[in-house]
Amino acid sequence: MTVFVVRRLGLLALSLLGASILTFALLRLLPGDAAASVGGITADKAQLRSIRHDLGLDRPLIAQYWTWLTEVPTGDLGHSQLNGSSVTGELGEKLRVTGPLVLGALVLALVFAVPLGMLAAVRRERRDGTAISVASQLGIALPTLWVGLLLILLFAVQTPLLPAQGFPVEGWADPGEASRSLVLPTLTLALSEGAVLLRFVRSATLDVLHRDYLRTARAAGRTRTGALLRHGLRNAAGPVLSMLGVQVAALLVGAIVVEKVFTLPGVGSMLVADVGNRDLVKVQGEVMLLVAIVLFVGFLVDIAQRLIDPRLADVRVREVTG
Amino acid sequence: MTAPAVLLRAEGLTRTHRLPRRSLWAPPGRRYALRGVDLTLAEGGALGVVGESGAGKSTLIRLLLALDRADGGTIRYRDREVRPGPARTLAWFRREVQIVLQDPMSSLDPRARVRDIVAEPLECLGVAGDHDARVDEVLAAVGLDPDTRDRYPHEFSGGQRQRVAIARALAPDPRVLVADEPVSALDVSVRAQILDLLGDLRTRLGLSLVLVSHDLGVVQHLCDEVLVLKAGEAVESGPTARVLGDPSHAYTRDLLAAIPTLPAPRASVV
Amino acid sequence: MRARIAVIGVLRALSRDRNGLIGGTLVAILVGAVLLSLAWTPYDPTAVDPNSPWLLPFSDGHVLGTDMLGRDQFSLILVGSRETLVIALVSAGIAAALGVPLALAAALGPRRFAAGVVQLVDVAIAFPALLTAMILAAVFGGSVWTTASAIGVAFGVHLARIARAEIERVAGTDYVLAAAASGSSTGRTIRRHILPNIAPTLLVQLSLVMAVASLTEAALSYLGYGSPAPAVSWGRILHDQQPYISARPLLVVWPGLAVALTVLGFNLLGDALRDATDPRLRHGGSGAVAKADGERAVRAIRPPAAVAGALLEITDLTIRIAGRTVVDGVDLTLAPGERLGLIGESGSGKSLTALAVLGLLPEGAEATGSIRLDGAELLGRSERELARIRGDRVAMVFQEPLTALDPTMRVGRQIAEPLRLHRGMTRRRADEAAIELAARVGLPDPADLVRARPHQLSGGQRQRVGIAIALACRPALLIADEPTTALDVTVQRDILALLDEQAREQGTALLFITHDLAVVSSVSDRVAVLRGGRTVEQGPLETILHDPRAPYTRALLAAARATAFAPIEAPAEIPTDSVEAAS
Repeated sequence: MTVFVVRRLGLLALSLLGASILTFALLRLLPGDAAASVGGITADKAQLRSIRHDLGLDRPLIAQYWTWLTEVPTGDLGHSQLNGSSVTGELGEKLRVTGPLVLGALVLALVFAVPLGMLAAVRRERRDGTAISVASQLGIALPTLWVGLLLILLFAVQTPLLPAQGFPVEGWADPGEASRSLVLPTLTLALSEGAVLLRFVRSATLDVLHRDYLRTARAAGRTRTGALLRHGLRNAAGPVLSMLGVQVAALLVGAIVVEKVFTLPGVGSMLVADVGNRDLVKVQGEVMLLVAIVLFVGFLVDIAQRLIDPRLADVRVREVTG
Repeated sequence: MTAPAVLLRAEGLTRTHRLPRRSLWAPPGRRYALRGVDLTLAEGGALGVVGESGAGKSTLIRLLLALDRADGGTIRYRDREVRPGPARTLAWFRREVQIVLQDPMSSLDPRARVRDIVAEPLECLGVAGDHDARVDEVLAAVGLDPDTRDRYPHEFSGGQRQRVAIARALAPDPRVLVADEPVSALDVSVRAQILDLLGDLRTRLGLSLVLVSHDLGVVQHLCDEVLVLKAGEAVESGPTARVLGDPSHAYTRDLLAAIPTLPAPRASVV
Repeated sequence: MRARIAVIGVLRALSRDRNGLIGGTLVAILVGAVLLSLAWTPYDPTAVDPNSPWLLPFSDGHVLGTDMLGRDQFSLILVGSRETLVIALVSAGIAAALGVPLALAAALGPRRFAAGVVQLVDVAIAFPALLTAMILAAVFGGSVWTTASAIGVAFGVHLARIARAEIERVAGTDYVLAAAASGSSTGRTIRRHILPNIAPTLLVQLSLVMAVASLTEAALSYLGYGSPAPAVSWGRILHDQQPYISARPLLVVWPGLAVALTVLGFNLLGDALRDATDPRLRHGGSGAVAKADGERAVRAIRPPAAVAGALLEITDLTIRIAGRTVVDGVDLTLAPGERLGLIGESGSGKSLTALAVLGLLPEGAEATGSIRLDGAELLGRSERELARIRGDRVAMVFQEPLTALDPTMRVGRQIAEPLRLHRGMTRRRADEAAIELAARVGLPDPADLVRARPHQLSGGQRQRVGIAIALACRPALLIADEPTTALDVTVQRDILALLDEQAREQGTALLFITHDLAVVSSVSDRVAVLRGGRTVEQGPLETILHDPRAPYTRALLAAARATAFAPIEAPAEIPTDSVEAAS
């Protein structure tokens, strides 16, 4: 296990390095002179040169990358090229909206997708199982942003139960008000991602249902349901878990859209605005944060899988060669 | 009386696999799947390779057919060295030596028709002549109606599928057939038919045979030489009657003693 | 010619499948809408008409009404289909062109190179399509190409990951090995065997890519990073109408519905394509499971011939699966402590008969007749009632010791399971009992071994664990279904001896199922021969072996004798020069 964790940690570091290079390269493609947008149209050449110097844009790309790279691990993601604000500081503030949104949606999606997905698999020949399956198929097809609009229509316009858009200016000063404005966004995200998760759970359960060890457990005195809960669940967890990394990526992307639909001041809205403003350093920091989260979840998932299924950690060559 | 010519000769065949790393400090271990195995197949001969699971039977087959690279040892066919490599450099060898695998369900591409399956070696090895006619010919030789050529493998029974696999092996008119547990996936009654077919083909076409099996009964019925493998090493070899009748190695004796036997029919007990 | 027949076959199969029909229709509607929009739209979709704002559906020839600028919504949605379809197709094309070669390289390339590709793919997966598409749109200006290439690349790496696993699976099959032995070059094997066999997975994945591309396009346009006007996109219509959502809710319904139906179409078509391209499923698809409840009632009335003191009594057992009769009126009786061998070839119904006793028949199987244990009828009992008997009065040992055990659970816990269920033992007490049981079935170092997981044991040890589970509650009847078929002969001998010894010691009756006459002769007092779901012959072991009545039994014996190992009593004369001592 130790060998695996050490090796996997090394891989994570390597992935993060690769991701940072990709992010940096992707953003340096952006044409346009950041100095020009900072200085405005009135700036003359000398002023532009000095702005460039201040921003470090006159240094070689490698040097710029190195500076950025060495600062990232210290938690310093640099400063906005437009107004000089700290990227880390702003991200921390925005995460107070995006964090609860994404985590809440993940928990909610798991809570309804896991039992329903199992039910859809176990009762696939029956009417209720088919109904769940069809509903999840529809859920996957609905665009997240449209689900958001429909929820606004239903719960904010037709019956004004919840706020249609926005987030209190005071943030979490009034927790009740802040939570209320996150209900519909969280639900939107959870429905969209939950439908996908449900399909995964269903197919993982279907796979487990025909395994011999469930029959052994039943032969030892468990009921069909008992065997599935005792032995099926932990065996189906592996494949579902392995999709979690991809799921988190999907949730983060979904958050970008949902924050726009509900005009929430989160990381997603910040990213959309910064890409529009071509604020290189900020976009760089935001992309890196999202990608790092996805890679880190992937790392945790791999470790968790080893713990659940010891076969992965302890493959004997006897089994490989037959 | 001159001894028959040697067709296939393997010397010191060795194959190792890396074990997963157990510690950060020690280098990963290696395990021998096969260790210094020698064998010879005479022209017209039938060599049985027996052993239990993990003995290295499958590894040996892969090495003998140049489907995997050995870590040590050589294989020669009619005194010409055989080395794994690009398909075209081995065409001469594959025209001479063909294979029949254990489970015909998995050894036939489920998406290919019988005609394409059987014609595959003809096409790949650039065998001259009318391929369709040859397909019909070998299908008939293994007892299948040539009309079956447009069917898919799943439309056949297990025994028929194994006949298709044998027809594929026979298509390029090889001199040697290597069979890996050719009947162990089949029912008892079908098993006898396929064994009869193999024996019959051997005499009719003058084929030489390498038969790998865990079943000593099968080997006893088809082979005149036996090689006993245990954990990657050859423990004993020689004429079938000698090895099975008077084994010199303790492992062979144990193996023989473990076989459940069917009481002989009373009629034959005088 | 052959290709055309194949295409027609796939289309036929698709039209038979409900998913395929719906998915195909939806995609056909999308394609139709694109073609129609190129030739004709009811109104100029971008024309602003200040005289007819906010028209309701079906007024003045505006099927879906107009927006605040008086634009005809139906025409807009018709034209918007172009953007969706083009981006879906181009994205799928890019994904396939990138993903398949990457997957081939990762699966079949040199090890170090493959590892590098895998690593690259893992990093690239962390960059979501929407994010890169936004950045590309900011750099080059939004267009079909920025959107489609971002989606194509992002899902190309996803595809590579899935296709790689699939390629590795196919590359490891025997038919690829056989192709190599037939002289097929790597390139030809990829073309002729690997690609056709991963094609269904690829098709499914590509249809998923098209679905996700449609969704991503809508989101991008909504965020303002799609193709700029005059291109029309469903996502941007949604964006434009959102401010008026409370006044004109229908205006956000239409474009969203268009996206949803498109995505649904691609997804359903993908599912159906997977089934349709599989020749194994195309012919003779399994029919609906025939329910025979009425018949069961009729059959069950037949008074079974009562045998005094019988432990197990099976009368006229008939099992149907998908309308096919697979067990056809089997009769068996077993006295307490008796050992009955059930012999038959594949398809004889021997395993199903055994599973029926425990109520473990596969779903969709329907059993009629009578199965009595200690005189009480088992057929028709509820799962809960049967579970109380299973593992207690009747237990079973299965054929594949590896798959029969839960890979994630310590074997001790699995041995303890029946004790906890039937004896109500505490976990601690059951764990101790598991060690005793492990010792009884001859497992080495039982106290340590119960902490191991199945994959750490040898095949024989795993089967001993299976036997320990079965014997835990000292059942009156032990059913063993080919318990030694997956094992080596030397291990088989030991397992047979163990089963025999334990059954005798505990007075447990044994129902031993096998295809091997030689094996059955060592563990049975009586033998029943099954063929095609019927009992061909039943009688004492001696009679069956030496004086069988049924022609089938005789043929079976003859075939077994023909291939069985015959001990050689006197060694043949050995010419000394041919003895090759092994090195």
